[in-house]
Amino acid sequence: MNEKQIEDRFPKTIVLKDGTKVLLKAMTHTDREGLHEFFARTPEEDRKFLKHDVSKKEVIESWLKDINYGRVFPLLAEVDGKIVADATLHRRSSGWLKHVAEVRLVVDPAYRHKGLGSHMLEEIILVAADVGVEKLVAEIVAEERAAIRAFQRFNFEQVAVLPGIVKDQTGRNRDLVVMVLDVPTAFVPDWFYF
Amino acid sequence: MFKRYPKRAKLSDRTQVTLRLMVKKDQQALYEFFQRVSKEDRLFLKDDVSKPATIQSWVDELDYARALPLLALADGKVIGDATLHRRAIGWTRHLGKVRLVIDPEYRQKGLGSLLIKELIEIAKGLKLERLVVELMGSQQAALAAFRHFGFERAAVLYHHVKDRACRPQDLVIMIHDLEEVPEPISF
Repeated sequence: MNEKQIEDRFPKTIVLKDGTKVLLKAMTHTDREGLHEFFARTPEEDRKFLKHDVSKKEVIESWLKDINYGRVFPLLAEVDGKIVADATLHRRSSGWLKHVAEVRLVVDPAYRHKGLGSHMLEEIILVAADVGVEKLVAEIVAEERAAIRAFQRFNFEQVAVLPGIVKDQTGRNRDLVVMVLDVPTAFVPDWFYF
Repeated sequence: MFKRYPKRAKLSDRTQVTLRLMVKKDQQALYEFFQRVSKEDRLFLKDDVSKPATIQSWVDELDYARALPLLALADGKVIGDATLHRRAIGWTRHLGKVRLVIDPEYRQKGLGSLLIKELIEIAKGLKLERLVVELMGSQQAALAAFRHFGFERAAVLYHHVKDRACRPQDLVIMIHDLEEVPEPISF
């Protein structure tokens, strides 16, 4: 993902189902405070299922310290200057998973059920396709049924469940659902194959 | 914790090997080691070890808490590299991820088994709960070795990775439960 490819796509304004105008943009160093506030608004119940403890300042600091869109591309959604969603695309430069990228998505509770998560996911899939990613992986705690369903709508398939493998923020072991999307099939309706 | 190293051991063909943690001065020996390993055997490494700059950055960022590299040496040469990767924060903070590379000339001599056993002991010492290893479905010998030491197949991701010829191969995720206590049987 180079600067040019980002400039071609973002920033970009979308309109949600309820008419809210949302600005989609790549994360930059100026988003420090906005990210803190965003994650502070994320309920503890949701935060505990995230890969990292985002309530810690040093976690966000480490993201901003080495922004490299080729390795991690962070896409933010803003409403009136407030961050309301964060989607990231994680890639590897070498090795047997070079064609695979990981996607992570967090949406402000006040902006759920408005199609924002789907919009973000769609943008991330398009970016992935642009840069030649063939497969997208999402790792989701099994309790997050709504998130799993959202990914399934883009033809992500549940390929494995790793029992009790991750520890949530409270220290409890949880099952992890591994979902994989063959990027070229993302927008193909199921019936196409019959 | 790491007082057990350096440690001497003998392979099945009586080769004397020394096991110890990697230090900064191993840079050149490590680079030469990866040159001897086929591209196929280092595919699972997420960094391109054919570049001297990669090894340089490993040496520069040597941090045993993040990646603990255990080297096997014979005649001053690195012949095996087993690393234990950990994360201080996040939902995998109780896990260790294992990566193992063996010099092609020193295979089928018990070196892989030796290194796996050492990493399991290190992991137990660090109070990790589980070890994870990811292998390609075609790596039959490695799969068997890890299974022998208590790793169990937790998932197979169909055609998830690509081999050297860019052919899709299955990714096998194996997990070793370090805390497993046999459950008391009650009727």
